[in-house]
Amino acid sequence: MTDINTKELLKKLTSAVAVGGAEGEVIEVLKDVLEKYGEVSVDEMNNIYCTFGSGYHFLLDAHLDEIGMIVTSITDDGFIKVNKCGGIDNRMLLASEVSIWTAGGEVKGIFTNIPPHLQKADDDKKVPSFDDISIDIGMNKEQAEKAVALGDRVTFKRNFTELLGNQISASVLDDRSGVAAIILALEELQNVPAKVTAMFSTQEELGGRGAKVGSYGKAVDEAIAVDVSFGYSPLCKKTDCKELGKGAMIGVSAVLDRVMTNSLIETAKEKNIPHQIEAMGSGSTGTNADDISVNQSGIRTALISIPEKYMHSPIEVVDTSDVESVARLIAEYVKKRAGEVNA
Amino acid sequence: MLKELCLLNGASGDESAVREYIIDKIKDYCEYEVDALGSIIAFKKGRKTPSKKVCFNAHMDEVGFIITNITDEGYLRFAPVGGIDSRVCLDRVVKINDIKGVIGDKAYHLLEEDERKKAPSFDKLLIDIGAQSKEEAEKYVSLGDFAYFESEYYEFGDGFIKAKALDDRIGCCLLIKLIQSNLEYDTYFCFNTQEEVGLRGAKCTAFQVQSDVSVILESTTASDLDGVSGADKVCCAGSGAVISYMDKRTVYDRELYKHIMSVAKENGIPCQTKTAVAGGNDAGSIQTSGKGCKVCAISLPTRYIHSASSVVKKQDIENTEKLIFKLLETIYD
Repeated sequence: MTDINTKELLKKLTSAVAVGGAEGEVIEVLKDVLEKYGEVSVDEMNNIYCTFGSGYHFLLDAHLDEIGMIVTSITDDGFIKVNKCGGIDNRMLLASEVSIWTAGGEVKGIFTNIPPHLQKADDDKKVPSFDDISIDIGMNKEQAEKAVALGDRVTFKRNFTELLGNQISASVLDDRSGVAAIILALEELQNVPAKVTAMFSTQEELGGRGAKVGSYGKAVDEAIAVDVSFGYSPLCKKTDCKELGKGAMIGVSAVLDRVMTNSLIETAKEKNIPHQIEAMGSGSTGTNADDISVNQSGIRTALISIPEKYMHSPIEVVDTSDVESVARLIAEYVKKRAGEVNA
Repeated sequence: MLKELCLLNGASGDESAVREYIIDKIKDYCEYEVDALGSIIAFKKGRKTPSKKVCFNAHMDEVGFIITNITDEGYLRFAPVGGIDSRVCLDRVVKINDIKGVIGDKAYHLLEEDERKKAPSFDKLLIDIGAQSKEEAEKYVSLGDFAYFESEYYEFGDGFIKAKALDDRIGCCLLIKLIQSNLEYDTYFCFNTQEEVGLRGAKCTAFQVQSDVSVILESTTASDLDGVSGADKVCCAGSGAVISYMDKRTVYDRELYKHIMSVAKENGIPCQTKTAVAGGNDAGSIQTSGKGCKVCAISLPTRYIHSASSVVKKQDIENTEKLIFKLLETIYD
């Protein structure tokens, strides 16, 4: 649908770092990508916006932050103690490679392992806590204190791997693949008779904080949140997940706008866009849609997700065809809806 | 050279890439042959023929994975080749033939509370190559193919190296350097296979060489980590080569042990011993092969051994090399 290569865009977006509260690097990358589409601005919380057009106002949201860790202390032997920022799976920590993002740049390190001779029977099934292990940066205390400051952010080593077909494995596809889908949609929406604000919001992984502030005071008529959701792999229950390669997941939930949701489903059918229905119970979707929809006097909000395997690991997997389906669905929906309100 | 060696993939039983690399490096400096198990036995003529036959050893193989099944949905079941803790495998990228895969599990959000507290064992892990079906996966992967950690080689911190397979490509690297140097005495060198699956290759090379003295160059677990104190550290990065008196497979020759320690001391080369009886290496099978021989092990203290990210200090490699070259002056006596 566009000249942008989805894999290249994802590679660019996933290479930049943005642990909640320290999003500087990804902001710079996004400024560069977004300036051709509209007016770009960054707010006090590091939400970044790209706005163009006038009239009926659509807000397209994806979060730009990622899970990570934060440096809490440096030991007498120069090891770095950390704790988590967002939902980290402790089962994969041992001997994992990490990067500490310091004032002086990247400092590489490795999570310590528990040596076999110090393990008791059944210890090989034990999952370490952050108290048990620390990061080895190959420095003594004095050197470590010069290189690393308390509060520095830590991420797992970046990875971008092409699998068979259209599947790619990379760090932080949650939610850079949502960011990519919106950017691909913006390509198609340049001449739409409406106002469009793309918002790439911060601190979603810490509880939708960025989107709450970002959707305030913008006189938004409709919002679409774009995130990743559970894609099937054999270790999951089929009923918990949708499948990769089968298209955009249109969220159906008590907290989402039913008229928008139905219209998204109709649009997908009319335009032959691969899609799947993700029906969710309870009073939340676990995405920014929850916070955007109750902002101020309320904003009509829908949710579209990209099916993703291994969420919150450094090897998350998405199918680029799903990212493209989501982009097409957003673009076709906004065009159709703008036509309706202008008629 | 160490970088090139570590980046080669060569699990036990799949050592050919490492063997070819080594042969290319040594062929102009010695006579060599490849035995039935794939080990290289090299002989280098020195200026003199010593009264004792001395043999230096290192192993070419590393720990890895072997594909044991392909599921109907196109995912790969696998088993470890050598001792790998299943906990260092989750969420890693692996290479199989010319394609890549990832070892993933359920999303963190979908894990039950008890699942979050229990590490998955190998029978619960799968490699995902992105195949849509068994048929598609079979175009790229066959049962019995080997898989390897995708791991870069880089330097970090205060003179440390991070790579996979430091155990025992460091030993291979040192052996190549010895062969490429001018030697005073005739010497044998064995690059052994299948160490990680039970010290198998060395058993057969030792039988063929029948040396009087064998020196094993290895990589051993250093536990000088946060939260580990005293003797539990076993050995420390930065304190020089590790000379063993005993490990789980071998009681080393006491005279040789003392001799190496005194050579290090006389020449001001840092070295250490293990503060616990831990680990084991090819010395265990070499010592008792054929008529038997005296053995000693000189090892590099290595953190996070048998993972994708083993760590060694460069200074230790340099000091070990110095020590070995000094030892060459006296070990034939």
